[in-house]
Amino acid sequence: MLHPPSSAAAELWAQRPVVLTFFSSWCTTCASSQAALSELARSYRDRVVFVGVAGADQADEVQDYLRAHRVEYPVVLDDQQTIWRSYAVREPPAVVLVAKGGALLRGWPGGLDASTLDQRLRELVLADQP
Amino acid sequence: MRRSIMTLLPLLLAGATGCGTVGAAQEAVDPTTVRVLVRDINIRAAGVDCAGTGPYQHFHNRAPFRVLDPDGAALASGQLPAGTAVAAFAEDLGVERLPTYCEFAVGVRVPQRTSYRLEVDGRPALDLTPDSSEGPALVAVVPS
Repeated sequence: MLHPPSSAAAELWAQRPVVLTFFSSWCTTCASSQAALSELARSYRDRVVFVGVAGADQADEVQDYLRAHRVEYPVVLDDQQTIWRSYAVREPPAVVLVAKGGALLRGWPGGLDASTLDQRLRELVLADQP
Repeated sequence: MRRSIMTLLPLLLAGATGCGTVGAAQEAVDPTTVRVLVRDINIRAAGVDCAGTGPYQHFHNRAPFRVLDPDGAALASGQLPAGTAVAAFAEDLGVERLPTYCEFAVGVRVPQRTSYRLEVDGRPALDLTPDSSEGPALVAVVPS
């Protein structure tokens, strides 16, 4: 299944798989899993692109959240929740995995812990890479 | 000195619950719990933290709220905590993620009034109904 990608998104997944993490600064579940997710993103820095998508939120509170949880990957403030709706995200957290080239591989409403995501990344997008 | 402490006591108690009592410093206030059941029937694991979804997205952790009297005067204010997902149906569906509602509960101290309303994040206020089945509470269900 292919999305109708924006040019920026298409550039993102042209070369590498993409993990979209949907979150809000007030989301307690997001906060409790964010440190491990940030660390996982650092460990995959050259192989998988992580992008955060903040919705139902305020820019200054998102900034505070990013600093508090050492989020170093790019984050989009989805003011109108356009991206959230595109991926049928109703509530944070949620994680979506997009293959290199743009195929939607899997979504996890409710999110998932970093170790499980790590395992899924190895199974779904890295197993056939040299 | 003793008088000062007694004057401050209600404020200290209100602070301990994370909520403020508004404009009712001279009246006796009673502790109660504001409970809001958001019947959004979203798929979640029962017991996880949650927020309202769809048209109820403004019900979430840190959302500002006010308890109002019949004239619209604020009696208490604060921020909602995270909600808790509760199963929408009694049947055991045999799956981890199931249709749920999102239930919020926050302690407040309010003076006696004939009725109360709850305003969340500046949205139209909801009627609160007294319920003592699990201790003193003021309950709202959305959609009603």
